[in-house]
Amino acid sequence: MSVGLVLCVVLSLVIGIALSAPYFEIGAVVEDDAIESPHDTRLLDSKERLLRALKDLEQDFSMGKIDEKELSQSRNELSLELAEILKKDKRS
Amino acid sequence: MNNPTALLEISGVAKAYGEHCALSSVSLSVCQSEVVLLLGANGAGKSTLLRIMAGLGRADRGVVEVCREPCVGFCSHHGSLYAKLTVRENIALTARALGVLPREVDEACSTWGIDKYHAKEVRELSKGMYGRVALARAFLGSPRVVLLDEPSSNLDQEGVDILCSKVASGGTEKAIVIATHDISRLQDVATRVVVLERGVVVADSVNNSDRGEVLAQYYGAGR
Repeated sequence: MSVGLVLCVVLSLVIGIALSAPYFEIGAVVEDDAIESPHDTRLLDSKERLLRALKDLEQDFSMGKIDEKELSQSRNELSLELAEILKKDKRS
Repeated sequence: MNNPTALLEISGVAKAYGEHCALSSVSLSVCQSEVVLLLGANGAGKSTLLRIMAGLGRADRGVVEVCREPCVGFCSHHGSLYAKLTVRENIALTARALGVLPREVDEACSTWGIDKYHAKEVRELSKGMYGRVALARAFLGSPRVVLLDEPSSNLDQEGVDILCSKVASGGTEKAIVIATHDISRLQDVATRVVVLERGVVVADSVNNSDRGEVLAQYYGAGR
């Protein structure tokens, strides 16, 4: 195997690990001491709440607490809110 | 808000899902230092109302004003924790989203008696401990408005005692609304009782009579 090929493989591995690191470090990410700006934290908080609310809806439906109509209407509303937040997040 | 001490004010709120009317012109003003028990049968509209107050649902009509500074504490009846994250990671995730210091995460774990489970994935917890983690998260960041949907349904008595002491320690700072069927374990901590029936407020101890009378009239409980 040529030195060039070995270097290429090593470099690809390093880039791959660097890119995928955030997906394997949930603990480290959430323990980070750095405090975001108030704007960032508000967006992050809204995103997290909306995602949890979507999860709640699915559970409500599977338990028979809400019917299909309520599920789809509420899911649409939450998805729209989430899209707005993601748009704002992209802009900031 | 019309009332200067109100932290939460809704007026004429209505919500329907297709033909089904979930809320019909509900008005409610909750001031600081009030702890409101929101009562009603299944399907009365309690969860829908809490979700709208929490900003997780849109009213078809009406005005919703909620003090969202520094944040609104909300705990749904499912708790909605991330199953594969640990207790500490679940709370730390919300802490980060709120810009709360990590030391408050430790304090929350200790207050709710979940510190010894901090490294456990929440899917391994009992329902009672799961409920405590969800509640710890709802009180994070010192919210002035706290909205809790059936918070005691899975808690053991010790968990309920922690919840009551946490609610009582809100003092004059907070407005707390608790949707519940668990009148016997939570009535002592309430300062006001509101009853919903088919999306309409049918009794409110502020307007009609005292808390005990409302409870006696609708549930044969109270003192």
